[in-house]
Amino acid sequence: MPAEVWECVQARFPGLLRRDQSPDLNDQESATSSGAQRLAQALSRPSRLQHSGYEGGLVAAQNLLPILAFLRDDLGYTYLIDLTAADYPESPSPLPPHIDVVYYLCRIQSRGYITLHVHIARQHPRLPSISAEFPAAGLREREVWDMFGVRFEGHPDPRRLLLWEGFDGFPLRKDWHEPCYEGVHKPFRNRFPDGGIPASVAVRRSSPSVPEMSVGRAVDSDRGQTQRLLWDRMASADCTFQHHLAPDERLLEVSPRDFGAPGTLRLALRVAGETIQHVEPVVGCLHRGHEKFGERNTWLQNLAYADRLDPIDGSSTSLAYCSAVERLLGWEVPERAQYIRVIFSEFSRMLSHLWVVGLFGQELGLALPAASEVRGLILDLFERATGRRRLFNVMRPGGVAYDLPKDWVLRATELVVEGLPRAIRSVQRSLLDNEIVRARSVGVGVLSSEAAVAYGVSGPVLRACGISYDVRRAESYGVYGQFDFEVSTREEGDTFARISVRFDEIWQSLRILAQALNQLSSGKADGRIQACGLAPLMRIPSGETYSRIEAPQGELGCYLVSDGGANPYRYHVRTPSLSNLAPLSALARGARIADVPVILSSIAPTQGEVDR
Amino acid sequence: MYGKGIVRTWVVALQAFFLAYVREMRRWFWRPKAEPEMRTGDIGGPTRVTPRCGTLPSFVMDIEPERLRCTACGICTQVCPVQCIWIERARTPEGRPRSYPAACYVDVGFCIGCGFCAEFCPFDAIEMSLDRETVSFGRPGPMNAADLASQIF
Repeated sequence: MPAEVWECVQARFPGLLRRDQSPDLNDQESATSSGAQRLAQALSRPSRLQHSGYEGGLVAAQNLLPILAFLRDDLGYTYLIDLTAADYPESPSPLPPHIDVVYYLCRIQSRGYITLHVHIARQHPRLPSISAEFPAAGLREREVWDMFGVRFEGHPDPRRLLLWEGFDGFPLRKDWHEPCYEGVHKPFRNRFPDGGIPASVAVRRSSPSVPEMSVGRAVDSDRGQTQRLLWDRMASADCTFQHHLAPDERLLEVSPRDFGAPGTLRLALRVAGETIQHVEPVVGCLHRGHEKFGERNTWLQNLAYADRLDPIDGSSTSLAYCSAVERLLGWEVPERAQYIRVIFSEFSRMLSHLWVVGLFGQELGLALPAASEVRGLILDLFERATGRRRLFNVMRPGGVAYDLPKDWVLRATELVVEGLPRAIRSVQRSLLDNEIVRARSVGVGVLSSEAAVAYGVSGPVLRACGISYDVRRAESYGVYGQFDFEVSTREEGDTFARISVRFDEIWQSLRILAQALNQLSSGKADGRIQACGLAPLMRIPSGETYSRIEAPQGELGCYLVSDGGANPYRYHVRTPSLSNLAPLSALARGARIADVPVILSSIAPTQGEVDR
Repeated sequence: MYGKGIVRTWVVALQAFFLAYVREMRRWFWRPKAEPEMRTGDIGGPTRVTPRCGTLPSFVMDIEPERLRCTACGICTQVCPVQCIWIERARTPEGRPRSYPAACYVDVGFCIGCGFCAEFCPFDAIEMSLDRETVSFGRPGPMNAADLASQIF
C-alpha cells in the first residue's frame, strides 16, 4: 500500500492496524488504545502471524464499509480488482482460527493497489456486503460464499456461484477433503517407490469423512432448489413488480452452449416480447475445482494446470503464476527470459483477439476463415519454438523453459513486419467496414465509463469505454517499460468499439513485437534464460503475494499464500472473464434476443476461466 | 457508397475460396524440391517434426545393454501434475533397493502431455514421443482409459 494513502486512512480511522513484515511492530501499534482500535483488537490481534510477509491493512468488520467508502469517494480508489479469502483453521495461539477476506483496490489513474484484510470467525462468518458500493463485488462475494461459507449480509443475490445449492460443505476450507483425498499435497505415496495399479484401473475409493453421494451428485431436491432460486432471482432482478413477472414477460432459458469461446455458458433471460429485461449468466457448468487442486499440487505442478484455464492464449495464466512465485522467492528474471516472455504473451494476445473477432463474425453469420488462417501463421511459430501449437507450457518460475531456436527470431520478424500486417488488415477491413456488421453492433450493448469501472471489467471491454487502463502501463511488469506502445481506447463503449479495440491492440502488439524481436536479434539481451535451477519439490518462504498482468481478456491476478511448504497454502486466480461477465445484464437490457450472442461474443468470456 | 463493405467481404471470401484450390493444384503440379515441413497434426504421419513435439511420455529402452534406461529415482512421479506415472523400485531378495524399476506405467488416460517428466528426468530415460498409437483401426468394443492403459504397457 502506498505510504501516503496509508497515512490518510490512518488519520481518518485510527483503529486500523497494519500488517507488515515485522510482527513485533504490530504488537507495539496495538498497545495504544482507542475505541475503534479496541474493536479491531476484539476481532483479531495480528501479533505473531503465522506467515510473515503479509501486506496491507487489517480492518475490523465493522469498519469495512466506512473505510471502503472513504477510499472510494475521497481517495479515488474506485476499481475493485479482487475479493477473495483464505482459511486459517490452525493459527498460533494469540490468533484465533479465522477466515481472512482480502480486498484489492486500485486507482485508474495511478500505479499500485491497496490491500485490506478482514479477519472473521470460522463459525457462522458474516460480513457486510459491498456489492452496492462496488457492483464488481457481486460475483466475487457469491464465490466466497460458495467456497468459504462467508455470508455477505445485504447481498442482492445470495446464491452459490459455481456449485449447486445443497452442496455439502464449503470446498476451499482447509478441513474439507475431496472424495479421493490421499494427502495434503502431491506426490502421493502410492506412485513411488511402492508402485501400484494406475488410477484408471483401480477402483476409486472415497474419503470416510465425506459421504460420496452428497458430493458426487446433486440429489433431485437440491437441483429443484437451485432452479427455484434462479427463478426467484429472475423474477426479482431489475423488476417493477417484486417477485412477479409482468403480464407480457417470459422467462427464457438458453441452454449451455458456447458463445464464441470454448466452454459452455447457460443463460437465463427475462424477455418482454423480443426485448431483454434481465440476463442472468448461470456459471459453473465447467467447474473443476482448479483452486482446490492448486493447493494439492506442488508449486511446479500448478504450471501445467494454469494454462488450461484459458486454452486460447497459451501463456497468460502461467505468466501471472510465475511472477507471483518469483515475488515470493525474490528472484530476478534474466533479461533474455523477460524478452521471450513478452514475445510469447504478445503473440498470445494476437491469437486470442483474432479468435474473438473471428467468432464475433461467426455469431453475425459472417464466416471469417482469414482470421483463423492468420492464427495458423502464429501457431506455426509456436510449434517451431516449443513443439506445441497451444498449451505449450513454456513459462517457469525464474525464466522460461526453452530458448528460441536459431533462425526463429528472423522468421518471426519477417512475419511481424510483412506477413501478419497484410493478413490482419484484410480481416479488419472485411469485418469492420461491413455495413451489416455495423448495423448489428454500433450502439448495441453500450456500457458507460463509470459503470465499467464500477463493475470491475477489464481489458478491451474497459478500454472500449474510453478508460485508458492497461496493467502493462499501470504496473509495467517485466520489460514492458522499455517498449514504445499506446494504450488503445475507444469512446463509444458499444459492441463495435469492443471489437475495434481488439484490432487496435493487435496493431500495438505487432509494434511491441517488432521492437522486442529487433532488440533480441541485435544481441541486446543475450545470456541465461533461467534465474535458478528448479527443484521438483521446491519450497517457498512463507508469505502472501498478488501479481497482476494484462492478459488478452483483461487483468489477470494471481493470489498466492505460502506457508513455507512444497505446495501453495492458498491459490486463487482473478480471471478477467468472470469480471467481464458482471455487467452482462446491464449491457443487454433493452436489446433484442438476437443481440445477446453478439454482445456476449464481444465480451468473449472464456468459460474455463469463469468456472475454474 | 452503401454496401461497398459488404461487397468487399464477399470478394475476400471468394478470393480465399479460389486461392485454396490454386494452392492445392500448385502442390499437385509443382512438387517442391525441398522436403515439405509437415506439422504434427497433419494426416499421413509427420515426416519431419519439430523438437519436443511428442505428445505422450514413454520410457526409453537402451539397445546395448538391452534394458530400460530408467533408474527408478522417482523424479518424474514427483513432477507429474496429474500423477499418472507409477514406478515400482526393484529390490533384491534381501530387500535392498536396486537402481532399476520392477515395473513402470504411464497412465495415458490421465496424461495431459505437459512434458515435465521428460524435462526433469536426469537420465533422459523418459521422453515425449509420437510413436505411440492411442487409436486403432478396428473397433475393439467399448474403449476406456483402463483398457488403453493395459494395452499400452
